[in-house]
Amino acid sequence: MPDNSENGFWKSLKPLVKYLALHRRMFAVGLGCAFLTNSIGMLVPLIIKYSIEAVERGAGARIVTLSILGLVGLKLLVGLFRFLMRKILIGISRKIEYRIRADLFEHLETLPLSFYQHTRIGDILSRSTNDLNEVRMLLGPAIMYSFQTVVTVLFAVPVMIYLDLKLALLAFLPLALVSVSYKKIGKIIHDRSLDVQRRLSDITAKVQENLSGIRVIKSFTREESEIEQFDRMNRDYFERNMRLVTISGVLYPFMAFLSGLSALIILAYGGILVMRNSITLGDLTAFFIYFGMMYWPMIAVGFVLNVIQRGRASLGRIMELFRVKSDITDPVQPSPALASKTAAEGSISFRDLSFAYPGSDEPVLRNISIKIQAGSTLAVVGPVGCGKSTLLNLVARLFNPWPGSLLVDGVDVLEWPVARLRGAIAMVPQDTFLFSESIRDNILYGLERDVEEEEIARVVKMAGLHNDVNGFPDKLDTLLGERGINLSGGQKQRTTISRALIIDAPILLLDDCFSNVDAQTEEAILKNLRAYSAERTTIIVSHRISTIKAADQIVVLQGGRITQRGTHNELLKEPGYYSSLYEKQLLQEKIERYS
Amino acid sequence: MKNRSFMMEDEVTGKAYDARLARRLFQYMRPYLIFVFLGTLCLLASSACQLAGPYLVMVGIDKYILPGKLEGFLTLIIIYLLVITGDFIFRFAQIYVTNYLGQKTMYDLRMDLFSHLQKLSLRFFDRNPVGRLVTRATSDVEVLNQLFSTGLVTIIGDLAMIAGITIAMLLLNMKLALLIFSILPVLLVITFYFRKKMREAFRLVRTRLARINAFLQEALSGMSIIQLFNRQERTRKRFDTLNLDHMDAYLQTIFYYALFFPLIELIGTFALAIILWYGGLSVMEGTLTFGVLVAFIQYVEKFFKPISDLSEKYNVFQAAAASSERIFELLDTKDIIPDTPAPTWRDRIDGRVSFRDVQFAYNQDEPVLRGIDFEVEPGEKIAIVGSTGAGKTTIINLLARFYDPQEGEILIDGMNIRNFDKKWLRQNIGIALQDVFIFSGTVKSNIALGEDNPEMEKITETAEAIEADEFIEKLPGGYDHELTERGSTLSTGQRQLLSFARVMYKNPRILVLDEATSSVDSHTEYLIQKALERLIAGRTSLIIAHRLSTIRHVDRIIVMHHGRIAETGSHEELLQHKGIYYNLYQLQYKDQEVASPGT
Repeated sequence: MPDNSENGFWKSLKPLVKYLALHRRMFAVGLGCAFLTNSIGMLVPLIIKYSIEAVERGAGARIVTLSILGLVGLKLLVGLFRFLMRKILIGISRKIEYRIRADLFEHLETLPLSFYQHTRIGDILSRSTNDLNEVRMLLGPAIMYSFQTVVTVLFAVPVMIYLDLKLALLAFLPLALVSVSYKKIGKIIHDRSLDVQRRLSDITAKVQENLSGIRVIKSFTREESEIEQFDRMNRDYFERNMRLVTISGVLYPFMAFLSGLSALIILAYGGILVMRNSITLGDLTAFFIYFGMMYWPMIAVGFVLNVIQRGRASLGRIMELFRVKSDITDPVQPSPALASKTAAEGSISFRDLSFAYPGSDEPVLRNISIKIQAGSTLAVVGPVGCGKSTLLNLVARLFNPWPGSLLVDGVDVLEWPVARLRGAIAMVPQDTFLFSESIRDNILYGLERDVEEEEIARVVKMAGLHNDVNGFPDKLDTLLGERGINLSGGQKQRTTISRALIIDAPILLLDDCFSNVDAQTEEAILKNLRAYSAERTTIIVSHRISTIKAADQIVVLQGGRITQRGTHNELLKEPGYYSSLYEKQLLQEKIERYS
Repeated sequence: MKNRSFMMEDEVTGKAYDARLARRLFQYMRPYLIFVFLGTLCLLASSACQLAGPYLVMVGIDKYILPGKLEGFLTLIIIYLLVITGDFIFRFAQIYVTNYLGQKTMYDLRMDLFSHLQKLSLRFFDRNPVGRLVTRATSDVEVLNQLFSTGLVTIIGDLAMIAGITIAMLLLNMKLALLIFSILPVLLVITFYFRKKMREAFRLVRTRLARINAFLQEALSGMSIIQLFNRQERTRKRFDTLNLDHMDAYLQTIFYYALFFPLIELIGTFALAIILWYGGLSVMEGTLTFGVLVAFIQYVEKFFKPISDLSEKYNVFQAAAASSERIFELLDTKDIIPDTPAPTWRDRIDGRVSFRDVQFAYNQDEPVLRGIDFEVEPGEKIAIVGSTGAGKTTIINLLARFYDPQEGEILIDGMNIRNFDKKWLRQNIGIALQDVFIFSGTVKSNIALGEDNPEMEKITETAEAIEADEFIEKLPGGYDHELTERGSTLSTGQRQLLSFARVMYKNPRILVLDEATSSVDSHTEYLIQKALERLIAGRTSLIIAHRLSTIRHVDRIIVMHHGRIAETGSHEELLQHKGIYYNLYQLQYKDQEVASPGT
């Protein structure tokens, strides 16, 4: 290994140590095979030499045949160990690749919503495939080849020193240049390949975004400008790649050049030594043979260094993801109040809650105090961007509220184990995300237990989805496209409602989930839900008076503050947002009626 | 509204044989053939330098060192230095040239893929997960890099080497040469066997990688759902299965790969053994000179090296073939809404829209529209109402030619829309879609949607017109505020306003609103309706809404029911008719009445 002085070099590779340690036994065996295949391989030229000499001497058919059999036998061993070496060492690299990918996914699963709101998915994808592959190259071929080089050098160098120290030192002089120049070149390669990986990441993200938004692009005929934008990124990627090639392309020929330089020194200085009778011609020939043996492994150093640099850059990018830590974590000590409980009751209270998104100074919610009895319903209305969704997201702890400002069952949500808290909540988020599985799988998504067919049917009916489902040839087993693309907006919403209803949790959070459902269906669903939500604590966010008027209490949120609260009838009596909203809705109806 | 082909796997039929792929790949290299030539030239030049090295050493020993002649030795050393310098230059030039070739070709291929994807119809995107398509345009293209850069040129070099050595051996001693060539069938059989196995294994790897990507893409997009429903463990297990499958597929390739090289080497050893044995005995018998024997040993080494190199290139070729098959398959997908070869061009349109007996189904046997007939006068405002799944959105999809109807025709100004250029058509139709898609970029670029150097004034005017300026200016950075993928930092209402602004910015002749106002609260809806009034003035407008309140501005209402037009007429006429519309209306009205106190 050329570079020990560079502190960051080993440090940056440190994360791989624990993965390699998992396979240390097989890894040792693999290195053993590499050692054997290379050391036995070194005997092969000797046998050939011996055979030729036997022929030259006219030693007889028997000796020639025997030495040939020996050669074939040795080669069989070389081949066997080479097979094992590859299978084991490269196999380990694939196993580690698998493990890192699994760990990465497990880690990604812990990261909070705030991370996903600020990170492009294409970028994460690129790191978990392209970058991971670079790291794999480092773990597999790079380690394998560098070890082979080490073995060869270990055998050849002592012999060369034994032959003539001064000549050996001189011959190795150009190789010293390798480590010196490598430090400079390596740094540049590292930076440039990081650059290349970033551009590839950008390209991946661009394609992903473009294809996800293809409908919009087509309706606004933005194909050409998209192609132009892509062209710019593509061209940029091309140029960065060529920038990398100008430097990484030098490395391999340069190693060859240095080798050539060594050969030149051996020829020139060694030749003079022979002329002076300091060494024999045989010594010089042996010198050339051993140096020749080191030639390819030394050239491989160039390849290996390249791979290591790229792998390091990529590993850095993967570790960046690992370093992101979730702030949504289980409490060190869950509240003792939870210990006695088997199931959550479902009371929720907001105590003077204020909230600003991480990294922002502007509070989205200010001084919110609401008490929701277990089993009662709270409705939240307010203009766009008033913080309604944030309120629900805090209850489900997608974000962290301030300590003591949000209690479920009288216990601070921060003192709930996260999974337990979320297990007590059935949420219908505003974004109707569905998975590309069957409708049934989507509905049963959050369910631990097995359910009877009737129960699914009951929930599907409650969510007003039964007619739609029955209209599909495959009924509940209808497969959905990405994000449920083959369902209408309303069907998607009703599927997400079904998904929440079936888990039968004590707390139900409905975030504006009727917006794409037509009025007729909405009324039917609300009617079905009445008995269901009577037993559960429900928070419902909506824009429509019809949706929320039956709630036990209604709060109006404006600019993150509660400006009004009460029941539907109480709120109608006082002037404010609610009654004007109601009046506006009524007025619109009236206008429609008379126009 | 469903599709069973989503699960269509990446497995390709395997019918495509190499020659056809090679021909197509060659098409991509054609513009850069000069680089192939230059690269090969550099390669041969550096090979010559490499061969000259040992020769110079030999000359040095025989002519200078052994006789102890210093005179001329220096010249030899200088020539040697020149040779290794030449080698350095030619090697670098070869690497640079071939990489240039590879990168250029990939650039073209990526460009073609991306442009092609832009042309494909929505029907195609309904069926193909984005993750898989992303793999095509990035990783699959990347795989071809090795083929274009190192693969081709070195193969030419290797072939030249093999041919040269074959001739040399035949000339030196035909009998010995033929004896060595007798091993070639074994070599070919092994190579072919492994070639097939590796190809299959590599295909499996790529398929499984694509599955991992598709799964990751979905899981990452729906991470909050996974977390809300405590499904991390289960999702992880499912991912683990995919991940393991992928690893297993790779371990298979490693097995073949690991076995292949030692086998090839062993065959080389057998060739060597034949030379030593047959050649050695012949030398002893005096039928062969010693020099020829040594030459044969050197040649055989140089003969098998490129052959095993060629097979190493197989790996590159396997991967490249698998990737290019999928790339070309995608490029060959003709799921395109065709443009007429001689489009009708109009400077301006009046905006008359007619549907004539339009029938349409996304999937056969599941008709969505069953004979739609209506006429919209220029400047007329039409509302299309009906319950979910009645086929309202489909009308928009057909009008914008995202799909073509199976029966009937759609006309604009009396001309079938198939006679227009799609681009021209869509430029004249403004659509606010149900699902608002936000692109990463600034608010500004999201309004002007990709337009280069949009006029700031026009953007602010647009925003002001729909009173979206209020919330935009509150965002950090205002119009320069950076939005993320899917606009997750914006509320649904804000997204809706933004999508409105886009349409207003575009200023089209025909306006289509697809439930655009549905998830905006009444206050915002009220604001938008004021702007809407201004916007639709003088424009042919089709408004699709479940909310009856959004349609008070329209001239006429079309009520859809199960893919047919059930009722049509003005609001009052429809109420008097006491049909479906009356019921829809009554429901909303009744709702309000029950809620209102004291009545």
